[in-house]
Amino acid sequence: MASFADVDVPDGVARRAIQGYVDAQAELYRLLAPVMMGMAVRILHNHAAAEEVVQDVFVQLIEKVHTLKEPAAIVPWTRKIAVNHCLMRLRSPWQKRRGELALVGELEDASAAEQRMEDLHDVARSLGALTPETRMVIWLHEVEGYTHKEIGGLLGKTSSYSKSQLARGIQSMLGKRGTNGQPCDGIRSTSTP
Amino acid sequence: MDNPVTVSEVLALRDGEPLDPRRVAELEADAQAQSLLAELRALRNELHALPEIEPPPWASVAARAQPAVRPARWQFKYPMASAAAVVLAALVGVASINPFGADPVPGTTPAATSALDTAVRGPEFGTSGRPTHGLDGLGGAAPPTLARLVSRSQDLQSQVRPGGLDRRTSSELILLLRITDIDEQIFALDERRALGSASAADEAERERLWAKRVDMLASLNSIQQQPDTGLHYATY
Repeated sequence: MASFADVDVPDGVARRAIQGYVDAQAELYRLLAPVMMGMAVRILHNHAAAEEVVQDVFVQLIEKVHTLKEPAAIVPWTRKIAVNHCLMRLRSPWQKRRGELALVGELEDASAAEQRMEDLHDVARSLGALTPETRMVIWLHEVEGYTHKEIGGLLGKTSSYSKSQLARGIQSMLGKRGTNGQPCDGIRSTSTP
Repeated sequence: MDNPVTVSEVLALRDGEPLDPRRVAELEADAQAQSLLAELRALRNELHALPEIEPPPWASVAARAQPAVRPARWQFKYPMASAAAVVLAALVGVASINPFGADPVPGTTPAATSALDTAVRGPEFGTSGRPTHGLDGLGGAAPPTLARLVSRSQDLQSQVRPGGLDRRTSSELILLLRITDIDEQIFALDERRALGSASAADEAERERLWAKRVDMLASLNSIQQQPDTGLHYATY
């Protein structure tokens, strides 16, 4: 399960979380934090930064959740906050520098078990090799179901930009993985510029 | 096929985006395009199947979130020597209230006296431990919750008229001192919570204290809305 859409938050939990009950907020964390952490790690390619995103998002959630009118809105609302936090970090000069340093050790903050698990997934490795913005486009479109118009809006660009980033990123991922496990020599076909 | 297959258009085909129908027919008949289409679908499935990653523990989030509900401290900007005089003046103000309502003491009016009396007595609590009345603006339909109490408290606090002690009536001073005392108690509970040693009774007490804070602030606002008699206590 990688997507927020796959998370089922019972209505009672959502209502009680909105009303301020700590046990419900803890349950909400248990349900949403793993998916959020997965998204943040894959977009930011930095375990420590992803942990900060999760903590910051839930602190904000606890502060503001009482403003929600509909319990059903709690998951999309949380996702929106999480995406915004990831985007802020991608744009932060400090985080960019931090990301460069982290790449030296290649997710060195992650536990060894998680690192091995990621290595087992070709797709995770090929995703990690992309630029941060392209990773974000791919994750939001392919996993979270954002439209190109929504992604373009988030990035301050057009939907065409989102489409071209998606195509280029996926082409790169397919090129690195190849077919039948065999290395591919790169461009599979001509992409639209 | 005359035009080579592109990743962009096969993505559009996969996602049901607008494409020239003739081109759609060409892509559907082309083996390379269909192979690429299958790969794109498989890639999406693989991305969806990536494992969740263990997040930081809830305790780390809960501890960080607590300061968000900690009340702002009342800042009494006066020397300690004056504090004793203020407390004494406030107590004198309370002792001078005439229970029969005649000759009101400076700084109090009949309305102010009843508001003060309610604030000093505090809201009534039912057998459930929840307030049954006396909570301004929260209605009686459902039990107040902590988040709403905090929000209401912040709203009421923003309405408190600023001013030095020399502009405060005895009623205001008493309420301010009581609110300060409540803040200290809430802070102590927050500290226990952050250390993980809070109990269910502490949570109930927290909600009760916030309810009382709301009540005190509502009374303070009510008193401050009374016409100013021009009689205040001076600091020493």
